[in-house]
Amino acid sequence: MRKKGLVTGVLIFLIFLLLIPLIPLSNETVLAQEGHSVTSVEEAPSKATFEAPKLKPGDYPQLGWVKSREAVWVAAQVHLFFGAFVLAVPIFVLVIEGLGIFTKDERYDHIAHEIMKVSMTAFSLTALTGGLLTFALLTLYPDFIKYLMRIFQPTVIFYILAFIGEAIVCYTYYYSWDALRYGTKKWIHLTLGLLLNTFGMTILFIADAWTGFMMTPVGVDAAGAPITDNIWVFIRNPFWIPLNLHRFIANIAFGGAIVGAYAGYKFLSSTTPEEKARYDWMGYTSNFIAIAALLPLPFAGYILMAEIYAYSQQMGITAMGGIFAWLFIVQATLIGSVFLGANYYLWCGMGRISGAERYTPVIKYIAGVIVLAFLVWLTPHTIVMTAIEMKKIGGSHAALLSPLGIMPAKNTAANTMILFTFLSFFLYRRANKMPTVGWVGAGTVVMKVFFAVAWVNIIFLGIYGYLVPTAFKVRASVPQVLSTLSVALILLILDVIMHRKARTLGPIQWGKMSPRSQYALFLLAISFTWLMALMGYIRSGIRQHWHVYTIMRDASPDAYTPPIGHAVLVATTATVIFMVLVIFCFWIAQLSTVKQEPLPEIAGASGSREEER
Amino acid sequence: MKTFIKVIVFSAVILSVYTIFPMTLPQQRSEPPPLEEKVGALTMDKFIDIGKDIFEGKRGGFGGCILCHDPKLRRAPELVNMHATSEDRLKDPRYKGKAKKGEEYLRESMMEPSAFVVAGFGVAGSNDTKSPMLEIKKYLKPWEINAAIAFLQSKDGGEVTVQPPTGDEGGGEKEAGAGAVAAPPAPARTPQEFFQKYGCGACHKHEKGGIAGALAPDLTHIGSSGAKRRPGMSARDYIRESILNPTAFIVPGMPPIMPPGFGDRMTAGEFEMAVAFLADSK
Repeated sequence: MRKKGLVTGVLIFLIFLLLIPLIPLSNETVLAQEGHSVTSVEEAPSKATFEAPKLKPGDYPQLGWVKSREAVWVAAQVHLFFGAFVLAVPIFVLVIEGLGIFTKDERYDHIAHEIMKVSMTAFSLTALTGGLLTFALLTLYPDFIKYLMRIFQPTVIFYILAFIGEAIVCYTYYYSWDALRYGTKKWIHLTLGLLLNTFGMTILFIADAWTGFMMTPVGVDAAGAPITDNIWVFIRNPFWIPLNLHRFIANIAFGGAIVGAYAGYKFLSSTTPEEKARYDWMGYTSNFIAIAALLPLPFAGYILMAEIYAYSQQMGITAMGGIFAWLFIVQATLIGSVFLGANYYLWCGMGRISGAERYTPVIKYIAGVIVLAFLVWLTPHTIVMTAIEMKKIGGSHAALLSPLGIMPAKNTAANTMILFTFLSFFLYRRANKMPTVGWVGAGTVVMKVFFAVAWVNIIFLGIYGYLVPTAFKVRASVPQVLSTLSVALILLILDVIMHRKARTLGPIQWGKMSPRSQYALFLLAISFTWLMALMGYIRSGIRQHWHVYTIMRDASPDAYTPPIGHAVLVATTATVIFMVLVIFCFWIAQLSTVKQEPLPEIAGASGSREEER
Repeated sequence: MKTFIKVIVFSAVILSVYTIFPMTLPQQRSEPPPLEEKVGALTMDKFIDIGKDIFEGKRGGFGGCILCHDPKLRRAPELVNMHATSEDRLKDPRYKGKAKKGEEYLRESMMEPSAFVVAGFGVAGSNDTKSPMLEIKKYLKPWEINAAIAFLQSKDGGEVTVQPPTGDEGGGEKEAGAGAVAAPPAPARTPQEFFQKYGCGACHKHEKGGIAGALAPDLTHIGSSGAKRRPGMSARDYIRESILNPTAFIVPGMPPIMPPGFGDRMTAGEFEMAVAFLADSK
């Protein structure tokens, strides 16, 4: 019992450690604005005497026909894909394993183990691509990487130690799965999982500090010379916490989508009902994880963009109102596809649940609202037109549709999509249950009214946004988000209470899913992956011609901001490389379960030895 | 294997759609500002023009003052009558800066934006003691800041108190007095270079010129079509007029989007080369 208490204590402590870098510290933001960051850091003067090098085009080594920026870009993106995947997998494997303990449902433990199994090769590939990225940076951008590493020198050793720790614990965690399966030993295994996550998150947080410094540098003067020896000042740059938060959530969504695709493929190639049931359930669980993480992701994105604006309006406007604005329309298209795909999968899933037919008539309305919101989200404000087109619509803006291109409309559309995706999930989870409590009627009315009021409030705030100045427009998005979140929270709580001792209308028939539904899982995986590449480009691209924003200039021949077509080709290249390597990971995991039949002579020899005995 | 092929084909189709759709959108490559810009002696008018370009975000690497100081957006105070407003700000009891004159106030506002924050425009929670304005000196050189001051002082009829670069202060990037000095940018040597340098391809098309804009008239055969535009005017004269005074004649059905002042930016040699090339485009 004492042992269990100790393990629980360690678990809580590790969780606490993990949460610290995810908590936004608003007072830091004020200190760290561009133009104030340098002078606001009240630290002892630095003893360091170096500045950011002022480079010329000739200072960048060229490797024959290799295009430097594209090489680093693809290497970084593929490494990030794998990094995100192997950081996400232990997070939800741990959660699934924990669920297995609390629900005593062995399926959770099996799925968690299987996910770890198929991810093991990905750990090696993460290290390999990380090595390639380091090599590319050292070879092609030596002065820049030297400067960055001089600033962050003390963190590098922690990065390496965390990496070694991650490798050791990862293998221990995986290979001890069966040895530490039940009782107190299971709790030790769970602690190993948490330790694995602690190392993984440490790696993420350190790498985010480097990336964040490139975006929003603090603790250095205008020439890039450190003004403090306190490494924490560089780490806690304004971008750090929002980036940690955004990547933490996005990684989970991404990891869930990739595992979902694996389950979808296994489902399609399964031949027995048992296998189909198993991979159907795995696909549902992975999709649930991906969507649960996707829903708060736009809000984390808001925090990230708000921090960018707070640090540098110039950078914020470059992202949202300049040449990157079109990419947000592309982003909207992808997010719309993801939402529609996820909803479609849920609606198909309702086909395997007895009692779900009650909700079938509602689905077409949900679909209609989501499609409408999707269309609003992807409507641009200004588009480049030919003179004839301009003449036809009477100006550079479409009178009717261009108002849908600004933030109040986008916020309303995003919240509506999230709200109605939640509704799909909500109907799915209660599909085969019939509440027996006496206040069902009243409770249902309360839920419907609450949902309707929240949606009306979201739309009202969206319209209100058109009538007030920009500052209020931005502030109006907060109550919109709160409306969405409160609906999700309150309806779930009420529903859980209402369905205590509920009557079951029939079992969920796992495995009875149409093959078509599984393609929604592939759509999600591809969309998430490509979207990550695109958003990664936007995040990095808004620095424009700076290695370290406004501190160290990129003087290489590649310092220009490429056209959209160029950027998406690189994103697609990185996505294809990642997909091919992921298929390799899954194939190799599958290979480990294949046993060759003994050759006749070996089988014969073995048989005769048996007879001799 | 059949399932595997189906999944791969499906994935390839999705990826293709995602890749092709953005390729149909406007493609714009954004160049960084030159590493070492060399500026020679400038007339006051040219100096103020540069200030206007800075204000409107037409110089590379900087989005322009108007991005925030736009009266419609109200992100930052509107910049009207700044020749007088700058003097008034110095008399504000909240002013604690070091400037003694309007010109110094404007420079201080750009170099040290938090020295004085206009009421209601400070960072949230700072009680108007911290300005959200970016550190302009990271984007603009001292002579460019002076050009912006000159524009702000002149735009509503005030007297300009800053002096343009004279060309006597030295060469290269030396920041002596009002500005840096040296040779003007190298002139375009070919019509193609000319089109690139002045961004004609953003709107116009000319097959031999290597530009393919779609917002303004196609110039591929302007040598023949130009002769018919204005009665009694040759193609050469029409082209000359269109560059120097674009609003003199708007081609029917085309929007009046050509910015004025192109002629002031180019050298006489560049101008004549472009006119000759276009007049021969038949």
